[in-house]
Amino acid sequence: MFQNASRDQVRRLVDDGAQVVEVLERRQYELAHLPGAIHMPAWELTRTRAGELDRTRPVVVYCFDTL
Amino acid sequence: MYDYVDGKADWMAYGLPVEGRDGPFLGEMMSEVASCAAEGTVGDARRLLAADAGAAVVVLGGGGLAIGQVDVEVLEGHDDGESLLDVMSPVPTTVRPSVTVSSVAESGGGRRLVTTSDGRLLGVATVEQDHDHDHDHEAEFDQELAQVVEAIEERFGDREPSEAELRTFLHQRLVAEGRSAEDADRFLDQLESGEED
Repeated sequence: MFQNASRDQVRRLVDDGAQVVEVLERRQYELAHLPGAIHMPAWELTRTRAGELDRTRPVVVYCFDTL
Repeated sequence: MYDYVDGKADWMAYGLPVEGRDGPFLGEMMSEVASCAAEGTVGDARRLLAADAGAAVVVLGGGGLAIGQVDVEVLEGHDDGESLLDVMSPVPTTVRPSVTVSSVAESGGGRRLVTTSDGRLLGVATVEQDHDHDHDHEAEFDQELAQVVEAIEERFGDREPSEAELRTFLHQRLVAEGRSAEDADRFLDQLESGEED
């Protein structure tokens, strides 16, 4: 379901119109997030919230780092 | 679906743009710095410094990797034909473009070489020391505590989380703020036992 993506792959995906989702808490998102990223905390990744995403475009999710 | 496993830390450390209210970041205020390839000579560095009145030349290896630095005073004792590799000093401690200007100011300011997370030279930033930095740790602690409480309310709402849930949540938060998993565990252990960090 998920494919790992490198920084360069993410840049290409974003250029091609991918949706970017930050799953950290709101404060972290407000401090700094990738350009155009949507805030969707990990614990809210329910079917309802996921329904806000465009299913026809790729989705890139990220948190702070690999941990 | 894609998982950008290296995450925001990697993106910012590479100097890529972000949105948000943190900052300004060093990446936004850095300027160009005189640099010379490792194959260069003392004469090359001298000409570069004469042209832009700089104080030092950064020596670059393959891929723009910052590998050393030659201060203008050092050049005075050497002939033009000498290799930069023979006269350079190791590159000073560098910082990432994602570091905030205020954090550098609070830690003494000064001239900092800015590189990506893989060592590629981006520029130089000079930051004035913040002499007025408030060292009132009690106030800082209160502010941090208020932010943690707010985050817990955001995560759990009106529900009282179990101790295990709370620890997991705080652990993730500490890691997201840059601590290692081991350090976060140690911090939470200390917190539970009532010791100071």
